[in-house]
Amino acid sequence: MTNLTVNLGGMKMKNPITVASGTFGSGADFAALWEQTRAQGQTQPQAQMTSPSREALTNPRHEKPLSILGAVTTKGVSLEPWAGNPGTRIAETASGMLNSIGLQNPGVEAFCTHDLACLTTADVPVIVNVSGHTKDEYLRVIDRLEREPAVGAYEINISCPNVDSGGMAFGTDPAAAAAVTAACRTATKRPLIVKLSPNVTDITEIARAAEAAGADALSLINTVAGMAIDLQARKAVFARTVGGLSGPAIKPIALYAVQRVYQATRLPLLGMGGIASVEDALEFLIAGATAVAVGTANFTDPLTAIRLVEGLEQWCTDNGIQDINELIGALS
Amino acid sequence: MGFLMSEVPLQGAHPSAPSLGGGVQGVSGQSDFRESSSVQATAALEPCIILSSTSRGAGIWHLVLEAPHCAKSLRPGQFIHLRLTGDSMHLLRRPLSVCAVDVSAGHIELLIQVKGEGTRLLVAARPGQVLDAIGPLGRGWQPPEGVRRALLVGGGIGCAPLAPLSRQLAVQGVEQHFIMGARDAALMDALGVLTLGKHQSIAPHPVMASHPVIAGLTRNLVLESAGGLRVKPAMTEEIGTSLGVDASGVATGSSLLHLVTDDGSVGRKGFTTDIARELLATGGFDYLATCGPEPMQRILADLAYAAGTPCEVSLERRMACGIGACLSCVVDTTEGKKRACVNGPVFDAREVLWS
Ligand SMILES: Cc1cc2nc3c(=O)[nH]c(=O)nc-3n(C[C@H](O)[C@H](O)[C@H](O)COP(=O)(O)OP(=O)(O)OC[C@H]3O[C@@H](n4cnc5c(N)ncnc54)[C@H](O)[C@@H]3O)c2cc1C
Ligand SMILES: Cc1cc2nc3c(=O)[nH]c(=O)nc-3n(C[C@H](O)[C@H](O)[C@H](O)COP(=O)(O)O)c2cc1C
Ligand code: FES
Repeated sequence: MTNLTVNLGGMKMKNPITVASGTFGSGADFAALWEQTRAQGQTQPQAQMTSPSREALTNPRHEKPLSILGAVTTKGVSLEPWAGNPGTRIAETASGMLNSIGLQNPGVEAFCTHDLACLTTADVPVIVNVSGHTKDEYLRVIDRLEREPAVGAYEINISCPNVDSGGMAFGTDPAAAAAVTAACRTATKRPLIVKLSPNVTDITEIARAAEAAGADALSLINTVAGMAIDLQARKAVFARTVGGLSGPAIKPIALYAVQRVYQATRLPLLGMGGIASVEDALEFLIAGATAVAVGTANFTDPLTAIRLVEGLEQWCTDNGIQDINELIGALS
Repeated sequence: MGFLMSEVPLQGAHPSAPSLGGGVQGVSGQSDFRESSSVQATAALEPCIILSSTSRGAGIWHLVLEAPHCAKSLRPGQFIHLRLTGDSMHLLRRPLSVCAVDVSAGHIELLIQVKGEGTRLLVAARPGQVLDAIGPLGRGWQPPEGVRRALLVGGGIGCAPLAPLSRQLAVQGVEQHFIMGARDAALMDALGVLTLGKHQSIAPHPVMASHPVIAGLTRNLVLESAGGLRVKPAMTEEIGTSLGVDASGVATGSSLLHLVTDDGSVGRKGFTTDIARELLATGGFDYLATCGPEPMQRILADLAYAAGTPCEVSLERRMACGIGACLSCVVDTTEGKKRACVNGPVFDAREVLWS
């Protein structure tokens, strides 16, 4: 029996799999889908229940569906409600997708009463993704969340390409990244994960700035800035022109970023970017990630995260790995 | 199985839900898919075997899938989210309405209009292949309780989600006028209405009686001279069961199918909205349901509002998750942004803020 437990900057996870912010809501929708798929699977002829994810779902040790995961990472939450961006919000690209959601969320107060309330009983650590237009807003969101026992860690989003002020502006300047990190640090003793943008010349510079300012862990990467054009209309598909690219198309970029930041800092890393298979997840661990997040793949196959948990364990057993931590940064 | 069915709210189960239109009370079930986030109580992943896939011309394909879970839990106006391929080239699923259901056989039917690469891949899949579906999804049609005279208006492929509604209303004995609009006769034919034997002699298509789009209307189809097809109410026990309606409660009524094309190659020349305007002027409609191009739906919503007729529209948005988690699919409403995949695709027209 392999040890799958990892420690992400002070947050213990029973396995290294979480979900990427913004692709999983606060978990309730996916939990309901998993539950129903399990119920339906039990009434289906055996022939149709071939995929390992279906078996994972029917495994009695996962009675509460979200507890399969090492952690749940929520959609970004801000101080006040944000409406997000107008117009078309997604576009498919080759092996990827662009999004321009713009961090729509109901604000931290509504988040606590609705979303967090559901997660309290889910038996899974919760990473809350935090956004803000100003340093002070990040701080006040954390202040409010400090009153909630259900929160296991904070992921500070300084890397969203889809909002005008704040967001990526903080994540592309080392001094600003350090300032936001330091401010958040004063507000909490809980694990503080700073989420980095790939849209920079040197990601290790930002990583080191966040480390020096008190981050407990780093997560990377957020989406890669890109755009799509509606040829007929000769207009950008998105109202803000720019969108964030995600999915397998960005995996090599993400993997390289993880490898470099692993070399440049001593912080544990939460790796993400195009992870869809067990092999993808293992590559991120070997590049230096302590844990990994499944994002866009949740849309393609909503059982991906479950598949990875089960598959990771199987792979370790098959390859004689006693402890998953042996693999972290094991690039030779 | 019993467990699943019990999760499907029956018509009229929610008398306290908000009203749909100008003072009309008692829109059943409307609150089911509203605010709560874990609303997709019946949605599951289901591998569906393609039983048949037939080109109907004009870029329209008719697919029959084996999907027992979806078949037994789906309500008219709901959709499924279909994965395209097993490779990592195409990541996003495609939302498609279910246009007919055979509960006892466990089959669902789709009408797919080829638009881009995704729909092209879907219609290229052959019988025997398995498609990965999530469904049933979304808030379906919620006609006001006690509706007596309904107007259904479909533009092109927008007729697809109206077909099961039409069938439900027919089973309930509701008088209905179904306006079908299409670019031309070829598209109308592909949507399953007719082969025209040279303009004036409108004749039912040989396979029409089994065709999903107007299956609800075609059980007893009688040709009318005026260009409408007079229809007696459909009624079979099987359909009644599928919709959670007691078949014994079926009353009689009559319905008319109105055809309109842009070029007049079949039915009337003009727009669905022309006929809708005329019909609404005759009064007495207590429900209008529409799906099709958004500008058309908007005009109909305005017409319905002016006539004091409760109106529901079915809106299309690009969707990533399909289950309410990602906020890709939002619609601007009087109550802020709502998600088309869970709060819709069917919306009360009065709450939609048209762009
Ligand atoms: C609830 C719902 C029900 C639908 N029911 C039907 C139906 O019964 N029959 C049918 O033929 N079509 C239906 N559509 C439209 C259908 O989903 C699109 O035509 C299809 O997604 C286009 O994919 P594509 O790859 O061929 O086109 P492309 O234009 O290449 O697609 C590019 C991207 O945009 C998305 N997209 C493009 N057009 C639409 C659209 N109109 N709605 C949503 N997403 C879109 C695609 O999913 C894809 O992610 C429905 C849409 C919704 C939202
Ligand atoms: C639809 C969508 C919404 C997202 N929303 C957020 C968000 O609210 N906060 C955040 O930090 N990252 C957000 N992201 C970025 C993801 O968390 C992740 O970093 C990125 O998508 C790369 O991973 P992937 O390729 O596995 O999707 C979002 C991504 C997508 C596709
Ligand atoms: S498609 Fe994800 S919320 Fe509607």
